[in-house]
Amino acid sequence: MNHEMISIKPMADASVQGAAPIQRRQFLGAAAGLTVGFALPFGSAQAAAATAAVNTWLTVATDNTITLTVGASDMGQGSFTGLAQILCEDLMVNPARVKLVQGAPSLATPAPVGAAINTVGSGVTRNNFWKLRDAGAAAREMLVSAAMSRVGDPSRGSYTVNDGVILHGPSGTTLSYGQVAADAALLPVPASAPLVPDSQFKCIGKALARADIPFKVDGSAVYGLDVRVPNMVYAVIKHCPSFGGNLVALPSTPAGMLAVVATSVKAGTGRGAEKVGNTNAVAVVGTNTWDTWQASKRLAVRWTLPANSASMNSAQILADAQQLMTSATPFVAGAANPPGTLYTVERSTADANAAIATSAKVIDATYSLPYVAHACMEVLNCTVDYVAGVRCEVWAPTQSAKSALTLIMALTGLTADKIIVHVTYLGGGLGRKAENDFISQAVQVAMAVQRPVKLMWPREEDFTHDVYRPMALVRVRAGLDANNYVAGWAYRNV
Amino acid sequence: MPTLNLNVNGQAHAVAVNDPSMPLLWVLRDHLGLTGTKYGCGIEVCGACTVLVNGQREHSCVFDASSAVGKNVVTIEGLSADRSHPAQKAWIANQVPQCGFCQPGMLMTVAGAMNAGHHGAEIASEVNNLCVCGTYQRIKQAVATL
Repeated sequence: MNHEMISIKPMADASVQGAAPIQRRQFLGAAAGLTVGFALPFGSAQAAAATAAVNTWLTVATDNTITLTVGASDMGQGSFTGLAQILCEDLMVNPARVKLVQGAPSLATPAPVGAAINTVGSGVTRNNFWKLRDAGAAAREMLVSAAMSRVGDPSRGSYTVNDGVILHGPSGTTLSYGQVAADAALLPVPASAPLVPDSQFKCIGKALARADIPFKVDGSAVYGLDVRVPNMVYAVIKHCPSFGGNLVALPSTPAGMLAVVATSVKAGTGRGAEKVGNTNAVAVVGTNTWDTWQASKRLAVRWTLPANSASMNSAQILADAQQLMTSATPFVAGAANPPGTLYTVERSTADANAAIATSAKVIDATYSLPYVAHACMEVLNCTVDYVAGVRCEVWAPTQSAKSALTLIMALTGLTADKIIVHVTYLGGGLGRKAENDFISQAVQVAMAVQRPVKLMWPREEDFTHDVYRPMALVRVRAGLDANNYVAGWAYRNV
Repeated sequence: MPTLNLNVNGQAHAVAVNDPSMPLLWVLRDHLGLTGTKYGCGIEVCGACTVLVNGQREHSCVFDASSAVGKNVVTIEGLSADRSHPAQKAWIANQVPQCGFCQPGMLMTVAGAMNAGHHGAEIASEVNNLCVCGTYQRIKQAVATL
């Protein structure tokens, strides 16, 4: 493989950023140039030399730096590199030159490209493909147009671009993107711009080296759990052993610890069996992870358990499902289904049972899968620096940066401009880090202790208080005819 | 409060701890800010916390920091200054990491096996660290070159 490198910085370096005053990310810095911020649809795109627009995501600076802001969370998919690769095809630059920056969330709907999005459903690359291609082409044409004015030859056919350098063929004059970026910033974004034909692809279809990998082999990649903020304290979560439980009384702070903080289930984070409003966990706060974790293990906490807590285990749930598999009233599409059929779904397009009964061969198989913890390598964690009424800065390995922003607004009462959400590298996401319960808890603790705090779920909590992958009990029956064609198919899922 | 004199990546550190049985992992991460060494399971199952102590692989999540006094500890940050350790080069050449969280432990495990004079498939048989992304195939490819 002929790998090319793309430059990317380790994300969320809190040792540098931790105490920074609140400010929206500024992508141009001192080298102002072309900034392209494409909202959707493409026709509403606009270019500006301003440095502070929130939804600017592609910049070509006068020092030739090209920056692409990516909204997606990185949990190992390789999409940062892939998006740079797509952009660079039509921008006509070597992807190795693109600086990739993690985007921050935006409240705008739909989310502007480059805003931190909710990264789920394997959609980052396919959903951005044409947007990036169009953006790369439009930016290229703006830069070439600026070069045309500079050179004085208005014939587009006289110009070619090679790795960000515009060549005027007749005169041999070359202008780098950086040299014309400031002029290009004053031009309107074209409504459309020609894309590189497939036959001339230089980037798309190649296996480029992933930009994040160097930082993942030397320990410098900053995951949520690695965030360090000056003056930070450590919180370790301890949940009610049963879902749906509620704290009886807040335990006193153990010797050597700074605080015990009760955390409750907030709206929008109460999926699974947790009840919104319940105080389902406490966080022990101390000066390092180990001592705090040990104190958390020793802490005696009294909980009110839900009435069904005794039956809330995999064996009982499977037994219930097996009972329902045989006894529950099937859901019938289009029929008036009584309450209680929620658990059982069966759709019939014809009389499958009759077809199966008369088949030459019948296959009847039942599959079961328990509730399974996502088991991300990196346990749930979140770091919060909160100053009451002033600011809230959050570092989280989250797949749901936008939801996190609205949650933090609700919890703190702060407006969005006083909140920064840093999406760190994720040590696995798997959908679990699309839930924001751990962010809610960390914000609650930070508000209580009035100090920067990193909250961690020990592995045992991570396994026992997951928003589990659903269990399933599935019975599949198929009737095959003499030629092994399917004559009837029945599928019942509890 | 006991003070532990540790040598980590060639540097001397005096670390004051409340609990001398604090695992080396948390001294590295919380006290020394060496966050490349990861917490995965805490019960020496996953291997994400692997470091070298006097050249040998140890699971730092259960290795008392006090037991490291007088020994040389090497973490992922100290494996090389510039990603030039053969294992790191092999990892980049084979594009091994996905989320990457387990990879410092993988690399330190491999480095320890290399210190013991092992090669290729022999190393692969010793790497029993967990990777939830499932990078095992590329790990085997990378290790085969070592």
